[in-house]
Amino acid sequence: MTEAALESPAAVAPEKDFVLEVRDLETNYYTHDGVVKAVRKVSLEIERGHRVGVVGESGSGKSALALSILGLIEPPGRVVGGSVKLNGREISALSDRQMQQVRGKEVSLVFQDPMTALDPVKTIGGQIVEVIRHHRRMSRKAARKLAVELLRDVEVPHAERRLDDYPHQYSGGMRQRVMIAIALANEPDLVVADEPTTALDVTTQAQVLEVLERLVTERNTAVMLITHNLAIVAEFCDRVFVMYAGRVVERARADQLFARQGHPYSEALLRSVPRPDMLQRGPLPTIPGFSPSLAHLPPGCPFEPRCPVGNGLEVCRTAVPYPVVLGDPQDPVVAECHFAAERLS
Amino acid sequence: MTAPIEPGSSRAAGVRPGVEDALLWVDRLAKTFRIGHARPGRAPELLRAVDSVSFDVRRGETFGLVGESGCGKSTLARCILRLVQPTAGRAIFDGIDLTALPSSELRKMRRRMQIVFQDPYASLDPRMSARAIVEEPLTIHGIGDRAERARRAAEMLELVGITPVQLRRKPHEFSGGQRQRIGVARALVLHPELVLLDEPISALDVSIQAQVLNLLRSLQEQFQLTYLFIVHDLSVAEYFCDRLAVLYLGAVVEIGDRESLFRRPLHPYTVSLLSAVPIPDPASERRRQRIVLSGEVAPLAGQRAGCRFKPRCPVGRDRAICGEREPPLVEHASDQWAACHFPSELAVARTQAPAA
Repeated sequence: MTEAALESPAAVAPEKDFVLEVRDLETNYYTHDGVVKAVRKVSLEIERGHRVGVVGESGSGKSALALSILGLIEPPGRVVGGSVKLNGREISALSDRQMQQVRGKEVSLVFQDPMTALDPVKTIGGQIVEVIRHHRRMSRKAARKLAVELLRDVEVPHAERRLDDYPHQYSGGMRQRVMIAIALANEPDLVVADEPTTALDVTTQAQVLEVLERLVTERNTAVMLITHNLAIVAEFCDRVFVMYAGRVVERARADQLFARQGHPYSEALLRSVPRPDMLQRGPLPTIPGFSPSLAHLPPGCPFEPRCPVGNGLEVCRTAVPYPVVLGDPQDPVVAECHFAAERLS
Repeated sequence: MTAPIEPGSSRAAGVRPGVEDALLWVDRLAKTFRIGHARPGRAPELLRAVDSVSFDVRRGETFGLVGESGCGKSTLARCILRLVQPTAGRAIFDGIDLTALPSSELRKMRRRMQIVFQDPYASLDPRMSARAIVEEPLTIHGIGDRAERARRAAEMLELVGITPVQLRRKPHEFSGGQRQRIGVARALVLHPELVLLDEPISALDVSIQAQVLNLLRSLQEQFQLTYLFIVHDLSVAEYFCDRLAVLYLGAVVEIGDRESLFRRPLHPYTVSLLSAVPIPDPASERRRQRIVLSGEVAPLAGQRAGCRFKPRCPVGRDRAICGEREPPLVEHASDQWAACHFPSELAVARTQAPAA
């Protein structure tokens, strides 16, 4: 892709085709402990057909970000600012009813736990047909035929026969395939997958990721994959956003991020995971302490108290780091660290 | 007291010589469950959750039980501690057969064997303070007086990183990682010899997982602990265990030390399992050869001929012998055992960053 771009003179400043553009999105939860700032002015964009990973630990705001984008934040939470454009159209101000027309059609969702996302008293086929017919004028019979095709696509064996089974008759891996089938039923431009394989065994995880990868490649569907598992990002994504304390603290191409990290948090996160391809023995590098409360953030860099680079430094304790843009201006690394430039020079 | 096991008794496959001196010797342990309803004139179906498993764990060692959900690793561990009554076989702890102990004796033995559970949210009583949680095992086993118990609980908590000011807090006031530390303190306050770690870090965040793994390792050195580690994450297993058994549908399909098992896996299931683990590095990731197993772990009830892995096996799926004869667990390399008719036929290069 980049080689072709180099050849074409028109591609010197290529007009990027964004499926999703998020600007300064802000979401708060109003709790007894105070205002929890779950998403703090996050910007992110996804090009058509690209696969983006959003990585973070629990409480980093990654799931709240996804829910905010999809208009699924519920009280006591509220989106308080920012803009979300899907296919160039602003969707953050749409009503619930209008959002229902968008979700499942232009953008769809795959959750971690398919058992809670599927209706236990409806057949698998019935649920797929329902999603298809919600967005398309199609006879029940035609929708049912399409449902069989979708189940075949996600490699559910004996698709025709299994259409009339209920969710509990499916195994965890098969249910997650059904979720993918439902998510792709109306050929959306973007699939948001929140920890889609976390509850699965490694062999099942590999199967599900393979199916998802094949289908989104065939359909040129963009994917926003939310996960805490860096290895899955390395396997699946071409771009990574690292979240910490409600902010995207680093964004880069996947190969860049895994090679060198502008933010010390990204580095620490990467180093604290044992590598399956190297026989390690010594103590694992750890990140001391734990994530800050999003209701009581420190005045400077939110990572300062745990940071191997900036802990105790005046600048890190007092000044919130602004985003440092580095590298190729067309495709930069952006890291919110006072030392990002030094670290990547 | 039950008579100790006589030396020279026959040794099952997968067990090392000198097993009589092992801290834990699991000898052909089995657990069968009845499933479904018994119908008149028909025997109920049986599910072999643990199917004649043998291994030995030496003092100070970390022994890993790995496998996918449903492979029987948790049932096996519970049979060893007799939290579940095994159907057949023996679990011999320090020369004493636990499966034959009367419950009064067993209770005394439990002091020497403790367990750390997976879920630090569910396994701690929400109404008790951190100190009370750690004190409780001492009270149950009648150790020390009140002051002594309080002192030991506080000491143990401090060792795992809970400060004196936090002693009176309740579980909900702690983070997941801290809760798991309290769970570890509770297990260790009795100074056990064997600690069963049942997925102790899988509910924790990545950065916290490393902290807890490091803590477990330093405590192991300090107290010469022996760990039986149930784990589904192979990266963690590889990092943490000295010796491992890979379980598939209730049986050991491969057993050996960490280095040989991960460098030269023999059983096609081990090879596939390893190849399915993603590597957190796109460069290695691209070179990684993947074997994506078809199908899923399907528990087989009742009578079955041949190899339990055959329906999913990339090597033996179409071979007659695999459907006819169950492969025995055989030592193929020095102290590396596999239950396969065609060991090491499936080999996958496990990538490593090339020396630049």
